[in-house]
Amino acid sequence: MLAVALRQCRLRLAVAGAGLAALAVVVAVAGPQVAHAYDDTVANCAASHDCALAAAALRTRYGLLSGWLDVVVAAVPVLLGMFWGAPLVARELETGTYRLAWTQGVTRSRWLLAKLGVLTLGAVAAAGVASLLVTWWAGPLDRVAGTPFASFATRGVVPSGYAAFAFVLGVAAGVVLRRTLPAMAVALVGTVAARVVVTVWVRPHLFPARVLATSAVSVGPLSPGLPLPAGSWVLSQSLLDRAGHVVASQGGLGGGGLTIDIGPGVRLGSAGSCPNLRVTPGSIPGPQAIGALVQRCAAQLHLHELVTYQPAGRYWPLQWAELGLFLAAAVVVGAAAWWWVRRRLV
Amino acid sequence: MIPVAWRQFRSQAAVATAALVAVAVALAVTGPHLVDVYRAGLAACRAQGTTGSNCSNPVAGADRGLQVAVLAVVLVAPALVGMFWGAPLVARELESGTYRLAWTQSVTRRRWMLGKLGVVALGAMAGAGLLSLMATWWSSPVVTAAQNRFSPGQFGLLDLVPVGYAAFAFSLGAATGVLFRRTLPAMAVTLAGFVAARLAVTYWLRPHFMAPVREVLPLQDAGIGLVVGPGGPTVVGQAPPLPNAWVVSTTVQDAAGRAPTAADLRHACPDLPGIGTAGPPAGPGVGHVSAAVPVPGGLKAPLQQCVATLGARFHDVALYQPADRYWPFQWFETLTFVAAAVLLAGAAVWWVRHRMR
Repeated sequence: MLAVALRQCRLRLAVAGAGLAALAVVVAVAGPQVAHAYDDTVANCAASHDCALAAAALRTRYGLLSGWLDVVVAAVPVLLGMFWGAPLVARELETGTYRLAWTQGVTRSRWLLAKLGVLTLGAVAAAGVASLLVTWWAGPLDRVAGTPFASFATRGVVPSGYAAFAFVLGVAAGVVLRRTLPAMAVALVGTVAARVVVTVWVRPHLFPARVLATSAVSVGPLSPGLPLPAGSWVLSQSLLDRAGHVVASQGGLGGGGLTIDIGPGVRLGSAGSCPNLRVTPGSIPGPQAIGALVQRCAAQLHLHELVTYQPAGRYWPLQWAELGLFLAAAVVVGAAAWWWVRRRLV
Repeated sequence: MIPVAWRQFRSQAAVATAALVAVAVALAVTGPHLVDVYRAGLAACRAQGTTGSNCSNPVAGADRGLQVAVLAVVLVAPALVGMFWGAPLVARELESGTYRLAWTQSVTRRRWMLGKLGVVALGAMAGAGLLSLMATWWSSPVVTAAQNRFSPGQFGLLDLVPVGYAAFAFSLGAATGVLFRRTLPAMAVTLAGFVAARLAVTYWLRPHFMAPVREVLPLQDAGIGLVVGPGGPTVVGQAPPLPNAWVVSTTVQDAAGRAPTAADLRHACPDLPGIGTAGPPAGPGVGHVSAAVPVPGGLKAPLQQCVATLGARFHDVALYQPADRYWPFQWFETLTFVAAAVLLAGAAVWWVRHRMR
């Protein structure tokens, strides 16, 4: 049965192999260039005291290619679900070839398991290789950006989980709907929906978020950065007044910023105002002066900030947890498809 | 033929209508918030005495996830039309054998093809137009604040062009379906072909629709960037402040068109670290001189001196597409894609009439 399954998907494996080879060529050509540019600019930026501009120069140069490679890694699982998963059983049902297959010496469940097994492994491997190539290529850019969680979904091991889930979802949709085209549409919409739900609502809560209460207030221009380990993922940020009421928040869903009025005196939105802080009449204060005024006013009003975050050290635990989540979902959906083929089909 | 084509297209049209209604509801609910953020940002900026393009409006950061989602929907919609409407249009009839019944009726193959193509193409263009209209309305505060209408993320996803993309993707799908006679390979080729066509037009064709305008600016107005590389210092032009224009290139050159040499720079900027004789030895690094980019306090005076000396001989030459060419470019790109769609559809009809069976 394994041999038949392999023979049936030769073309698909060849197309995927060609696509990965093309990606490998792009990465192999552009990889040393990025590493060289990194050594040229950022590695020695401390000598010229201008690391921000050196990082910006590197980002401008490779931002476009990096964006497109991210799109490729994000698209691979969806394409595998649509073009490998959905037609796997649906095409046999549409064209009637299942009649021949099911009247041989192989049981239906072994027939489905062999098909599912071979191609799930293929999908996991294809997405894993694509992610590995791009993760390696973007290494210098990611180091410069310093925000590993911004590219979480297109690096490391999670794309393999997405691919396994998308593929099995496509197969299950084909089994239930018995038609290829609607199954492809379901694989597309279902995978995108699952990715969005996990990204927005599940990933931030896979591990309990850490909480930081600080008197350093990060509002206004040139405000001091949050005292967090570098590369942490800030989930939400709230500004609280003395009584503990939230006066402004950002991050998460919704939330509103704080309007700063610098006129005669300083007013920080609904948090209150500091009429004693005066701007020299007739002059427009620069960002530095506004920042200092805001900080002083915040201290006068006893404002403090509450930050929830995932520390940078949780990057890999979160990667493995999200991979496990999607693999578990793939197993559940795959078992449902298997049950449907054995009990409900024909 | 048209009633038959419509009946075959009904379920796809129903799915698309449902999707459009869902998008419309989502945008109608979230749209007013963006307008509020935009107005508040503009008011706060004006209150600080800043005017015009110097106002960075917080609207760009508001509802970031939604902004990306809306643009992503407009981006993929034409590809989906090509894959799910175009590719199966003829290929499914060929695969399932229903073409035998269709072709033995009183309708000629030409009218059969034209009826199918016409009905679905009109549906695709109308759907894409509606979607683009909604996205354009929803993101108008963001577009107004960004003042960068030619950027690929805005030009190719708003206003008129999505209609052209949808027509092209649909025709491409129909033509590959006719050629391959099988739905799945036709869908894959349609996706790849559409992405390739979009990339090629965006990065290679669009910059050449019209010859860019050349403008010579004094260095003091435009600002310059200084890059210190292994081969000595070089100078880079900064983009001039032209809201909504598409700046193709900016170079610093003298009346004869020559860029300043490393020797010129050392002569003009003797006090800058890394360039002149003063300061630490020349190491790799980047420095920028411009009104917009803050420079460390100690460097301000030598930089201004440097720009003034260089500005006596050199100018900033900017090549750009002015903002008022936005609509000519929109029409040009839309008509290019529609023309390609008509050619592909014609080829598909010809193939069905002359090369099949």
